[in-house]
Amino acid sequence: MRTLRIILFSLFGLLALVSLVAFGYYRSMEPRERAEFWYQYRKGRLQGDTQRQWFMGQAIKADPTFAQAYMQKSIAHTKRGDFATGMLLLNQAVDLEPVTYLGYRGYVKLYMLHDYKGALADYHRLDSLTPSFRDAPWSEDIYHVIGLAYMQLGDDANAMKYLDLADDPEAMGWVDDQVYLYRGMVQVRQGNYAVAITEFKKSIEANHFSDQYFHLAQAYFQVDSLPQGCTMLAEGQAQMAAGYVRSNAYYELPGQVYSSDFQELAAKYCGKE
Amino acid sequence: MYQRILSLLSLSFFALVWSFPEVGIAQNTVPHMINTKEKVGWIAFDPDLDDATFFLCDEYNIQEYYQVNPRYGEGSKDLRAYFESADFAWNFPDTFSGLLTVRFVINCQGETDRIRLTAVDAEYRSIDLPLDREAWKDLIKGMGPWVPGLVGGQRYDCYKHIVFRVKNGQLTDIIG
Repeated sequence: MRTLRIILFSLFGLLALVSLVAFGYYRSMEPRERAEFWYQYRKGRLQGDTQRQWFMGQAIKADPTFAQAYMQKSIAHTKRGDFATGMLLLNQAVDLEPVTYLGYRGYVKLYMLHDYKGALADYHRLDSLTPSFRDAPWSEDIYHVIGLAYMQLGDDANAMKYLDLADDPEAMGWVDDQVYLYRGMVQVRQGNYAVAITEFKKSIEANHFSDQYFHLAQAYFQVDSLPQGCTMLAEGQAQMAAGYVRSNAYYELPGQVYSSDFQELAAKYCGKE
Repeated sequence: MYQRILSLLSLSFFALVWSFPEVGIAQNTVPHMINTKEKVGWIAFDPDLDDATFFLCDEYNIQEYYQVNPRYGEGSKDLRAYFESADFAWNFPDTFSGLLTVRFVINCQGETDRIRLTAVDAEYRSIDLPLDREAWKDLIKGMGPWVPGLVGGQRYDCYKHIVFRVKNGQLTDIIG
């Protein structure tokens, strides 16, 4: 019994000593170091988990200028429809580090909120802050997403201006197939079907998603090329059946095509159900 | 006294172990069993608003829509078609421009309940809108069955939200 008492007291004493040392070390840290100390504990905890959010809250408390914590804390809220909280946090991140976080806020506004004017304001501001650098917000060429936002607003002139700028493989090392898809969609809107067909073909060369075949088929039907249109429609349906579908877990993509779209077009032009 | 010491030691040990950063596990678009009701976006059961008989396969592991991909018909296309053709009095105030978000639970059988409405203005600030919440509840439930979230042969309960974009009282976009 006496031995047990000694062991327990020793353990307690050791723990108390370790705690004191740790506390003293924490107190000696700079605010940013303390914030990073709390921030690292978010790892391994799922996005939206209350513990994860708490750790990021502690990081912000330790250093209210730690922009990364605001941005990370915002994500679960915006993904789950709590835009008041999410955007409040994200706005703080942007205020602190605009070059780092304008792109992400533009992405959220463009794809999740369909706030195209808001997205354009963010993207244009980001572009102006980095005059010698070709930004790639959330891994998309900034001119691609600016062009897309204009396209969604129905401003075809500006859409084509920026989508044309995005067609620059040297600048980014690649051109997203969706740049050609969106250029084609704008050309269709303008009634320039021959040009649209060229764009959709480029899009297919880059990536053979079912959507690109559907839009190409639609353009062929507009110039009365029924056999070619029906062939592209059948190819698109095959690609869809094989799983080559443009999709995103969080939101519908612009120009996204569904099985019923193929069926309706096939019934109208190709005599098929 | 020994009991107190043991309790304190246990607490300290637990805090030490709990505080260790775990190995990264985050892939956000697959289901995860977190075994808790409370998380960001949690909707607690409210006997005044919700159906007490609403079945949940696992209330401690309600996923998010992007983890398990529930579907309404073909997807967003059919969802928009439902609302665009619904005989529903939207009745947004003329002065309102912003977003109305409807968040709800789709259970593992494709049924919906725990419907909650929140609104933000054009600057994404939270606002209160005078809405007929019962009518909105009927509108969502009137959608009929969803294809529930299904991953690896298992059906999941999940949260889903639909966003209604409004400008000067007029519905301009449905995002879901």
